Amino acid sequence: MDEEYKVRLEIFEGPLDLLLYLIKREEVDIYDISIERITKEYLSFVDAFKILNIELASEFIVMAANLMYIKSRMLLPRVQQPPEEDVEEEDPRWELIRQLVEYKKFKDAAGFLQIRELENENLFLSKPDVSDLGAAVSDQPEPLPDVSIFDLIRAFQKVLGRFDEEHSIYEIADENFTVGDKIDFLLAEISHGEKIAFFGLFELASSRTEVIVTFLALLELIKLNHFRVQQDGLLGEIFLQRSENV
Amino acid sequence: MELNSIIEALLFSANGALTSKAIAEAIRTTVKESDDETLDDLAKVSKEEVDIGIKELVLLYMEQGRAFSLTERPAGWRICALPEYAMWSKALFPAAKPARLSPPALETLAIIAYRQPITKANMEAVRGVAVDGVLQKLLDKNLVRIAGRADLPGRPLLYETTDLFLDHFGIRSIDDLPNSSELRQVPLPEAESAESKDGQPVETQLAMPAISGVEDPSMLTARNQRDLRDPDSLKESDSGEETQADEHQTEEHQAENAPEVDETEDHHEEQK
Repeated sequence: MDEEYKVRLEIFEGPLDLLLYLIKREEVDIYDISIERITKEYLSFVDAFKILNIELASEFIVMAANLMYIKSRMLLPRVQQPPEEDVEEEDPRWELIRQLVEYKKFKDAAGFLQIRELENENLFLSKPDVSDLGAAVSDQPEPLPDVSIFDLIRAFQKVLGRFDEEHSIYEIADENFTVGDKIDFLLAEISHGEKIAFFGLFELASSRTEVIVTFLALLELIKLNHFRVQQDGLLGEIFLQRSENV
Repeated sequence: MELNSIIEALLFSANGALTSKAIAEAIRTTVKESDDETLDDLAKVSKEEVDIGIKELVLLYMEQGRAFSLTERPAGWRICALPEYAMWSKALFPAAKPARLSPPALETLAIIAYRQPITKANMEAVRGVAVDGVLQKLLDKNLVRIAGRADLPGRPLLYETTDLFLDHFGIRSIDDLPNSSELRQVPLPEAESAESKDGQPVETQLAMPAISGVEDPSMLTARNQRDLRDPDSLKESDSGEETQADEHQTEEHQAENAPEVDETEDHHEEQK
């Protein structure tokens, strides 16, 4: 993969966000998560980020270690304690669950704030002063506002998985794909306002590298607001729409 | 003259927000300075009566099918167009872009809102990830500000939400946030802020975050009283942090520029 155009993606989501995302996706009860399954999925996500060469905050690695530690504790046999002793038989998952539950409450509160934010946008006050309007205007592009980065990574994993299945014979390709090339390609291929399915972008990919590079190019274009990402409901298909005015 | 009509007129003439208290005062003043005896029953109009009057006006507007209503903000009552007409009003402000926050920003903001004043470390403990970038954004947008230092090793900075935060989300006060009682547990008792000037126990202050929208002046802490009288002092302490590397330098810079904050801390230490 060419290093000349490195996609810089600042991911402000943390390991707790990822865990909550996984829990929601699996539709499991947060109080009774299967540590083994969650750990496996968590690690596969961390792996995907590594393939994409996206820098992941160290907290993700710390959480990975934490998950594996909890998993190992769950595997140990429960020691039989005599009844009088003050048994500290804590579920090894408990601290993590507690942290997740607390964080989820704040996430829900943030959801409320988001609704209020939208509602408030529609309240036009008489004699507005500057602070009513422009103070919080953001001039920097906000990355991925509609669909979470984890949804995109998951879709990417699917594409990569599908690709590996279909192309079991490895070809030594002479091509050198750069992220810059793919960005030009995407901008040329998809016209303003046009909408295209995520998976459609990778149909013609002939190598694993091409899949990866195309995805990175897409991320960069999303970050720069050339594309908007939409998802058909929770865990639905992902669509990309080229912005009109950029 | 009908009280409600007078209230209505005042709301229209006001330059921005108007509290029911200010309305009551204005009316009482006018009556006092006037010789007209027919106005005498308004001489002692109270804030509570004004509140009732305002609620009646809101109902009246709804019954009449008017395209506007009244909304209460931290700074007082405002006339506002109904949200149904938002798409029309937008045309008057073509340049204004919707100022929406990203989910991580909202989450960090929620943590600060419920647990203020709070240190960066505590925020990160809840979120499980560093908050530097997001926090800087929130400071830049003036949705949060620095509220002194915690009495912990390293004297880390404490953060709280601003009035602009309440305004941006159209909420009257922190108490109006959902699930308030559950999420607003009293944080670490060691945290101290610049407000301890009146010698109030620190725990009490943490339970009632000092938002200057609070009506009762005795609940306003020293710092906020200063803020309301002198907006310049607020600007100085709001210079916020620059980058991590500059943080130390900026903190010292702030220490020089915000003598009132330092005085309070010295005063507090002397009291010890």
